[in-house]
This record gives sequence, C-alpha cells and structure tokens, in this order.
Amino acid sequence: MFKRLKNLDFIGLKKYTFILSVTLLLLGFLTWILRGGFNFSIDFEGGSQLQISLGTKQSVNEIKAILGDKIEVTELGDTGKEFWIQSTLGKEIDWAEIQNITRNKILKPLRENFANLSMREELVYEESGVSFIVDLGETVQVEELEKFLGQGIQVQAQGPNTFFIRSSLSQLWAKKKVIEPLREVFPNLEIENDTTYDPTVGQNIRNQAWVVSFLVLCLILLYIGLRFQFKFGVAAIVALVHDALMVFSFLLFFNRELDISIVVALLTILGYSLNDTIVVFDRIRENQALLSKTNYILVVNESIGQSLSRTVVTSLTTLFVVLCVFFLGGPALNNLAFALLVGVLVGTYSSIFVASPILVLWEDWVHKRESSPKRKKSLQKI
Amino acid sequence: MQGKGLRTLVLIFVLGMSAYVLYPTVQWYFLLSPEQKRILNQDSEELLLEKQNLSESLRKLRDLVPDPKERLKKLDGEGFSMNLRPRVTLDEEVVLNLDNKNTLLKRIFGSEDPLEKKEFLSLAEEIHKIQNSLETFHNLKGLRQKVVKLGLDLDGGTHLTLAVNRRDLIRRLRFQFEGLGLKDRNPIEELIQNEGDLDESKIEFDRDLIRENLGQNQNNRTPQNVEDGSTDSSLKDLVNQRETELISEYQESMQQELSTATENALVVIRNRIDQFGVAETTISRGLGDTIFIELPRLDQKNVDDTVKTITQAGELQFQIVHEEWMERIPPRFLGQGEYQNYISPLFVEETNEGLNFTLEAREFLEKRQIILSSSVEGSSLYSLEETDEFGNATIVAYAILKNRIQVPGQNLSRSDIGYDPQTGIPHVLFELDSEGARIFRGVTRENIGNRMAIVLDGKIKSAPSIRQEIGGSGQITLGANPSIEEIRQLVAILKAGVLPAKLDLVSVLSIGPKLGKANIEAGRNALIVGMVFVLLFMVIYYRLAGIVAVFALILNLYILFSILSAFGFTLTLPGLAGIVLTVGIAVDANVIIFERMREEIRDNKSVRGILSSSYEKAFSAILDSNLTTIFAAFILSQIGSGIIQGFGFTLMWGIATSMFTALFVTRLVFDFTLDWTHMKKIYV
Repeated sequence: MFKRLKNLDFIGLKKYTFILSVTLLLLGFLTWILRGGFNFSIDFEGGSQLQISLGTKQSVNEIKAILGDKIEVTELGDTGKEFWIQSTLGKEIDWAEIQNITRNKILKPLRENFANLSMREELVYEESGVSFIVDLGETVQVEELEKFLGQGIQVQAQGPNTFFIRSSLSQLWAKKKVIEPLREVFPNLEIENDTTYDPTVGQNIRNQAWVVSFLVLCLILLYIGLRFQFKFGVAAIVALVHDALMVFSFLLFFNRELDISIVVALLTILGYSLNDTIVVFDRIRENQALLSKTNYILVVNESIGQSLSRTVVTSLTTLFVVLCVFFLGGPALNNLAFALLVGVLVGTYSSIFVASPILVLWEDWVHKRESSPKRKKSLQKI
Repeated sequence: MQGKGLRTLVLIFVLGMSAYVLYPTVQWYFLLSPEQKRILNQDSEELLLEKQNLSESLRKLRDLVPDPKERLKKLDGEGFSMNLRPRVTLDEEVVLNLDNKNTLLKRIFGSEDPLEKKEFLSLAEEIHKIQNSLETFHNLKGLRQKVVKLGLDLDGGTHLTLAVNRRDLIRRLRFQFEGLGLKDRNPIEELIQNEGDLDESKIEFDRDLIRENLGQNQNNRTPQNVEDGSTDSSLKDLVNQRETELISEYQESMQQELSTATENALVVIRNRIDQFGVAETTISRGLGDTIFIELPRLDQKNVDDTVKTITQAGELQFQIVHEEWMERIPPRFLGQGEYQNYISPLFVEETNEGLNFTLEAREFLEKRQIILSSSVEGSSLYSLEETDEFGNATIVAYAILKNRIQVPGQNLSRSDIGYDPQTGIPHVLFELDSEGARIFRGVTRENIGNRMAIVLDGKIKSAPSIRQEIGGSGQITLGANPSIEEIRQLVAILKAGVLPAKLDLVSVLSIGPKLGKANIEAGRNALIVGMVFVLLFMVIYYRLAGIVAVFALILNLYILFSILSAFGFTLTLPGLAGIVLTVGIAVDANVIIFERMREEIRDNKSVRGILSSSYEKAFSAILDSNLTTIFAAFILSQIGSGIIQGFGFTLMWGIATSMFTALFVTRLVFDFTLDWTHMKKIYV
C-alpha cells in the first residue's frame, strides 16, 4: 500500500509545500485583519448563558425575532420547548446604558420600598460587575432581599441593616435583554440553568496560555537538543508554531468561535504533532548513523519513507476518534473536534513537510558555511 | 529482558494496586444508591440538630437508669453528651447488642422484662440510628476524597471572587507604622488615592519619634562617633539625612505593601488550599484586586468551609487577660463550670461599635463603679469561641484583654498537631522565632499568675494561666473536645501564613454544567464509538498483534483511571481531551512496534529475533516522543491552572501508563504466546 509512496522525494516537494503553508498562513493573517480579530466566544469574552424552557412549542426564529440578532439562540433537544440562549457582553460595553440599567433594576425598587435607605458606599462599576453597599434602615433577611431584587443579583449582609449588593454585568444584561422581553411573550418561561462567564476568567486563561506555551517550547528545545541535536529542536518547534498558527487560520476561514476548548485543542495538537515529529526524527537519527552522511536529503527521505506507514496508521486511528466526536459529539464539542481535526491533519503534514525539510535546509546551510572560502581560511589558520 | 516470572509479578502487583485505589470510585458510582449519597448534602445545621437530638436522647436514657454512674460507667464520661462517634461515647457492647435486648436489660436494670423498659429500648434504638447515620456521613465524606469527580465544566460548580479588604489592609498598615513614627492625625484612608496608590505628599511622619528611634540605634551601633568629637552640626546633618532616608523608606514600604497585597494574599490562599487539601480547587488572579477560586460541585457546607478557610486572616496574637478587671466583676456575670473565670455570654452583646456589656449589666456595673465602658485602660472585651466537629462556632464566654499585642503572629516559626500525653486530646503546637521567643519570655516572666490569651483573628482561642516563664514554644488547646479537622485547619492556616488583610467575598456564582447533560452523553457516546473503531481497525490491520494491542489499551485506561482515582482527580473536558490524546499515543506506540515487526519479518529473522529487535528499535522512538510530551505535560500540570492543569495531569499520567502497557505488557503477552503456541511466524 505504501510501497510506491515510500520512495517519494518528500524533501523535493518542499518548494510546493512551503508555498502552500506560507500562502495558507498569509490568508489566515489576512482574514484576521479583515475580520478585525478573532471571534471570541462567551467564555472568553464574558456574558450570560441561559437554558430556558418556554412551556409552549416555539421555533428558534420566533425567539430570535423577539431578542434581536445579537443574541444567540440554540434549540436544545427536539421538544421545541427548551433553548439555549447566549449573549456576550460584546466589545463595546455601553457604560451609560449599564448605569441606567443598574439604577433602574436595583436602586429604584430599593428606594421605593425602603424610605430610610442610605448609600454607604457608592456604586462601583467594574469590568465584570457593579457593586455597592447600602443601609436599608430596617431589618431585612438576606433571602427576602434576594427574592425582592430577583434573578442575577447577589446580596450579602454586612452589618445590622447594611447589605453588600452586587451583580455581574452579564447577568444584568441578560435580565434586561433576554429574560424580560421573553417573559412578556411567554409568561410560563422558566430558567433552567443560568451560567455567567466573567470576562476576566478568559483574560486570565489567555495570559496563562502564552506563558505556559513559551516555557514548554523552551523545555522541548532543551530536551531534543540533548537527546538529538540542536537543529532537531529548532525544526520541531518551527513545526509546532506552524501547526498552532494553521489551526488559528482555519478557525478564521470557517468563522469559528475561539472558545476555551480551543485552548485545550491547541495543547492537544501540540502534543500530538510533537510526538509525530519526533518519531520521524528518531528514524533520521538512526539512519544518520547507518547511511553515509554525505547525502542528507537521501537520509531524510529514506527515514520519512520508512516511518510513513506508521505515520499514516496513527493519523488514521486518531482521525477515527476525532471524526466521531465531530459528527456525533453534539454542539458543545463541535468546536473542539473541528480544531482537533485540522490539528491532526496539519500535525502529520508538518512533521513530514515542515520539520524534516528544515533539517535539510539547516544542514545545507552549515555545509555551505563550512565550505565557504572564509571559513576555510580561518580553519587553516588554526 | 528479565525473566517472565518477575515481569508477571510486577504486572500482577500493578494491577492489584490499581484495583485497590480504583475501588472507592467504583463503589461511589456503581455501588452506592443516590439516597445514600444524599446524606452528604446535609448542611451543618441539620447535622447540628441531629447531634442535639443525640445528646438529648442520651441524657434521657441516662435519666432512666437508676444510679447511672455505676451502671453506665462505661457509657459515661466527659464526652457523654458532647461526643458523637458511637465507638467512643457508648460502650459498643451495650448499644450494638440491641439484638439481645434481654441481656442488655439484665445488665443495666437487673430485670429481663422488655415490656417494662420499653422507653429505654426505644431511646437506645433511636440513639443507635442517629449514630449510624452520623457515622455514615463521616465515612462517605472520607470516601469522596478518593473518588474521580466531574469538573466544573462537566458538572457545574461554584465560582468565587474575592478581594482584599482595603480598609483592613489600611488598618494593619497603620498599626505597623504607627510605632515607627507615622502621624496619627492623618487617617490613612485619606492618604489613599483612587487607584490604591499612596498620596505621598499627605503622609506625615513624626520626626521626633523617628529621631528617638534613630537615637537608640545610633547609641547601640556607633557610640564612637559621638566620642570621636564630631561636631554637633555634622552629627545633626547626619541625623537629618538619616531621618529623610528613613521616611522615604517607610513610604516606599507602605506603597509596596499596598500594591502587593493581592499577590501576597494569593500566595497565602494557595498555601492554605495545599495545606488543607481542598482538592480540585483552582485559584487564579483576576483583573485588578480580585482573586478567582473555582470549586467543583460541592454541597453548600463544603463551599462555606472552603470560604472560611480561605478568608480567615490567620492573625495570631498573644494578649494578656486584664485580671484586675476580671476579678472585680461580680460572680453573677461570670460563666458556669469551666468558664467560671470568664464573663457569661448572657451579659455581653454585639453593638455597632463592637462588643459591649448589655444595658442591664452596664447599669449594674456603672452603679457600683466597677466598669464604666467596654474599653477601659486600653482593654476590650473579646469573645471566646468554641467549634464543634461540624465547624459551627458558638460564643461560650467573654473576657477582658489588654489591647497591647505582646507577640505578633509574624514571629511564629513552626506549627504542628500535637496530642496531650494523658488525655490524647489533639492541640496545636507552635514555636516562635528567636525574636518572638525573647519577647515571649519577658512577657510571661512579668505576668506569672495572669492568663495569656491566644487570639486568632480577634477571637480568643484559649487563655491558659501563666505558671512560669515560657520560652519559644507552646500549645493552643481548643476546648475539651476539639475535632481533628479543626485542629488541622488551624495548623494549616498558621503554616500558610497571615493574609495581608481580611478578604471580602465579592461574588459567588454557581455555574451549571456548561455542556449540558444531553451533550455530555453525546460526547461520551462519540468517544466510545471512535474508540471501538480504533480497536476494530487495529485488530483487522494487525490481526493477532492487534488483539494484543487492544488488550494493552484497555489495561492502560484501567491503570490510568485508578491513578486518577488515587489522586481524587477532578475530570474536566480538558482532562478528557488528555485521555483521548493518551489513547492516540498508546495506539501509536503499538503501531511503531508493529510496523517495525513487519520490517523485521521482511529480513527473514527468527520469531524471537524479530520480537526483540523490533522492540529494541522501537524503544528509542517511543521513549523520546513520549518523554518530550511528558515533560511538556508536566509543565502544564504544574504551572498552569484550571483547564491547562487538568489537561497536563491526565496527559502526563496517561503517557506514563501507556509506555508501561505498550512496551512492558505487550512484550510479556508476546513472550507468553510464543512459549505456549510455539509459533513459527508472527501475525502482524
């Protein structure tokens, strides 16, 4: 099956594969600019996700008509009564409107009910929420107050009659933009599940991912440098970076959301691709000792050919799993599976067509330098 | 390769260990009914109620028995009404022998007629029931520690946001710098600008006090300077310069403490979580001054406990009890029994300004001119709290302490759990550093006969009498019947260090499972179908060898899950991804070996030759590719937090186990197969 492919001049193809990779990455970059950045999902950007049940059968479009375009609606199951509603905070938070909502939803009802209300600590608007401390002037149970203020507002007792009241922006937003308009039309609306994503959580993960990736890459370079040679380490890392960028590009091409599961997918792909690359490198290392060193291209080509059947079988088995998750895994895992699908293909491709040619190029470069007249002269002096 | 016997032993050992650590998880998910697990959802108040019922029944039971001291000797004791654990409180024989009621009755009452003692028997049965359910609670709690759990993204949970309380931070800063010459009349609150920076122009230091402090130092360190006959003016210049230096030093360190407060708090919280072992908790720094903590789906009680452990400031101080004032308080205001040297809680109340005597008590005391207000001569009322084994703190007494802090908690150098050699009751041992020990000796020498209160976060933990001069170590006892968990918690808090200030709980968000139940099922099914495909492919493509690989893969998952179970790991979506990658890599290792076999077969070697040379050659490829991935995974599991950590952890162990199964186990299987079947050919 692999016999004919095995003798292929893989390295000879590098002209085409390099052009292919660079073009795809450039296109990805272009899309990135045109789209104005990534389409970050709710868990990165912050927002609210509600699982509602309406009591009556409705179509997604009817709900969308009520809520507007900016809010995502997904049908859950096939009863036609349960939906997932997601609203991100969006990049431009309208502070004036947030302040307006806060005053109307929290302060106004409080003022109307508690005549002796006095503000202990002024309203604070932060990126993730609003908070303030009030003295209500009379004794109220926390539970009662929570019930009175309704969904999405947290109350904490601070002292006699004094309460710390807080709400996250996304919950306020959801209350105003989703729950209230829907309740008007569907009085039987029930909120089954209410999840709030703090925008700072995603920010945190993003920052951490960079630091951790950098450290991991350094360690990989060190290990491969010790067990193989420095050039293998560099080639492996170029391949890894290539794979990560490629996954980002494909996410952009297909206008997929960048959510936290993508971070997981990227880590997985890096592990997979690294594994793949090193198996090929191991063959090169082995053959380097066996075959004559003069024709490095031959060594590399031979090694890729020998490990080709393994590369294909492993990719196939992994693809089985990933394809199953992609087609059967449901909407929540779809993004993860998509990224993995791209990653497995790109990871296999990169160990043959990116990492290995770089080794050859490196060797060529060293060879040229050694045989250049300048170098010869300096050698003679010694 | 070593002899097969040894290798088989190793394999059996590994499998046995795995079964042992995996059992709790199997028990939890497959053997326990939902009703049994529901017991764990009891909150602390329900438990307290149950405990009260128990002691009530015990008291009634004792009342029924004539001459209980004699007849229930074994049942009685200090812990009679306090202790829960049946094995400790009641003689096992008496309670557990309810099957043999006649003997029981005979032993206690001398009569055998069960009808006569109906009440006694029903009480005993009720006690038995409560004790059983309480014990089940404890056992289940222990069991859950050793079980693979589902993470926040798969099962929902709680997301906490905390922030350093700036007021408290400022209070402490002020306390710290007052002695060094910070002027009192500018409250620090005013010195803080909006973003929490110090407004340096407003900080004023008392130059006289600084000079005084400086003078002491100068005299100690360089007395020659003065004797050398340096002129007055140059000395003054020197002092002036030093003063200015000191002031800017102080300003800088105040600024520093303000700006690093959140970072310091984060370190302390991490330490506490590590010490206290609140598993599967993720802690990370939020934007601004906030700290995020993610807790898995726990019952309310556990969330409360964790919040308590985390937010407790952990400020340990030693203060002297104001015995002169305490002695003047009339006996009617004092407590009972072991609290007879304390003020009874009935006469103290919490007001807006802090603790004070109740109006009734105040009037009485004022009339007799005993005490005019709660804060007399630099002393105040402090509460003495005791906690039961469920962590419910109740105020049992009050005492008047001198406000002066004798030894601050920063001087603590070590703390540990200790046991009273006579009673076996646990307590907290602590040691002070040399500076602390020096002060401690001085204070105890001057206060022999007085009580020294050990104060944690403004509450008295215990107040033993000072009988002699004490050096650098001591112990904190927590009442007559402390729970080991509470002692542990206190040790953990002391070990982890003092928070820079109190923490405020800014928000508690409960998060539903992100994926939703239907989705989790879809994902799980997809994974299973995918795995089956892979296994089928391996068997079809590699025939006999493929079957060996499938066997190895199943073993791999078994060992991996038992490791996760041993760590009480919380499985999240990233963790699952790590497992999927593990399966991929495990299959890959087998593929590498089998492809080598095919190559070797082409070279027409003997069966054993093929086997050993293909394993040998495949080894370096598998080792290097897996080790690099393990390194990467290790970093992810150590440095990353939350999702990154979960992925790294499963991947790291997954690859480790897959190396074991793919290299070690398959080889063993091949060796045995060759021995038994005398194959001439390997089917690959």
